[in-house]
Amino acid sequence: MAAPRPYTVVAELTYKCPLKCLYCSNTVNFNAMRDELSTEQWMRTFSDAAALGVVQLHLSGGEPVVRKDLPELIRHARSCDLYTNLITGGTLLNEEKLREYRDCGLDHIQLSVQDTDRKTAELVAGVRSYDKKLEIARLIKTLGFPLTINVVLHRLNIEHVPALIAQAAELGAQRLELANTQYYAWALENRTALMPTTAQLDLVEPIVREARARYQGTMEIAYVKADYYSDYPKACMGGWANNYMVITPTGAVLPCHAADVIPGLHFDSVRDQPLTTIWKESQGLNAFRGDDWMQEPCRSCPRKTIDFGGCRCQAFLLAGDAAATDPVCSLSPRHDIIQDAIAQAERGDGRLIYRDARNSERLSIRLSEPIAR
Amino acid sequence: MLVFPEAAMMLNETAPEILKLCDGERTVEGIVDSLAQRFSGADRTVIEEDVMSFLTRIKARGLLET
Repeated sequence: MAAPRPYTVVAELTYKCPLKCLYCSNTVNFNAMRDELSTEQWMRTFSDAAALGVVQLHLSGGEPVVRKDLPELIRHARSCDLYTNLITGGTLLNEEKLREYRDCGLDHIQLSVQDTDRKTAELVAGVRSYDKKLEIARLIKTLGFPLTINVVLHRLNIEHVPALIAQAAELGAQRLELANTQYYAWALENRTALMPTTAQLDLVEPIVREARARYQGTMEIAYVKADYYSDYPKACMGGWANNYMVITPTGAVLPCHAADVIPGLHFDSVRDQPLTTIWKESQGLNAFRGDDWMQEPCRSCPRKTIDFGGCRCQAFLLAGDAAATDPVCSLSPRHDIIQDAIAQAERGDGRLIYRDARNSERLSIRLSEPIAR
Repeated sequence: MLVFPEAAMMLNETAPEILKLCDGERTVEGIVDSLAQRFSGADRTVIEEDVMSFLTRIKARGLLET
């Protein structure tokens, strides 16, 4: 299958981060990957991305503000006509840095907020950060940036959604993203502690609908559903390596944040080949393009062009086969895995595993094995 | 193409012309005037409808501050 045009690149500039969020999407193995791309390698990659047709660049991490060359990278991305979005936890920002990014042409900032409740916010982030984040949100607005506030939802904060919406509006955010936790990487390790109950989800969805209507035109509210509770799987990434890619701090080009857990796939690095070649020829990116790889019940399913059989990473992580139907699908022969997870969540569990170097080392030992079966 | 966080909007040929005139100073009336002058062959009422429908749509998506 010919490679489609990519629109979006997520550049994970570094795995370094002062926060230890329980739901971090970075690979559990992050501590072993310290050999970050150089400034020149990133700049060349941004140019190649623009040449492929990419229009949107998310500068992410870890905490991208850690990179001393961030102003240079922003300036270069803008010169390639890429729309630049900084995805940050905010705790390392200050006025001087923000002014510098603005002068380099940064278009937009997405700030993560853990909760309106200080105690829970800091429990989830694993460090003191609540006051600093609010201070930075205000500064971002004062300096005239468009602001998205991103909140990952889970059982500890989902009941605070009305307060989270009010706070985002008060801070002057143009956009609020309320995204239920997706269970990969660190979030999968902490799944039982993070999964909301059915009752919690039933409460929050009407609140979001009402708020969306109320704030229409002033603050856009995006809501990412809890996919375990859906009848059909999410159309993951709009299809594997279709118009989106994630580039890791060491240069590997992935179709999403999580795909490096799937064994047997090789994801090339921009260190070794130009992005323009990788996007078209990478074995890993081509593995699940199109639908030739599908098994039943996906193969003959009329929904296969809607949701592409769901998420390949989830199929591997939960059912042990990346080409299987996403177990979230009610038609999956392994849907029992999801039902068990939901039943477990109703009971709850206090175990919390923070995203830090020590846990990364400990957990990496059994990486590449389906863990949730 | 109009690019914004997490999405992009494919624009027809007239939309970029409208956007270029959204400078924070011009009124809707002013935008229509300017377009009517540049495209003197076009009906002013049609231009006005195009401008209003486009601005209403991007305003609803939070892409226009008034």
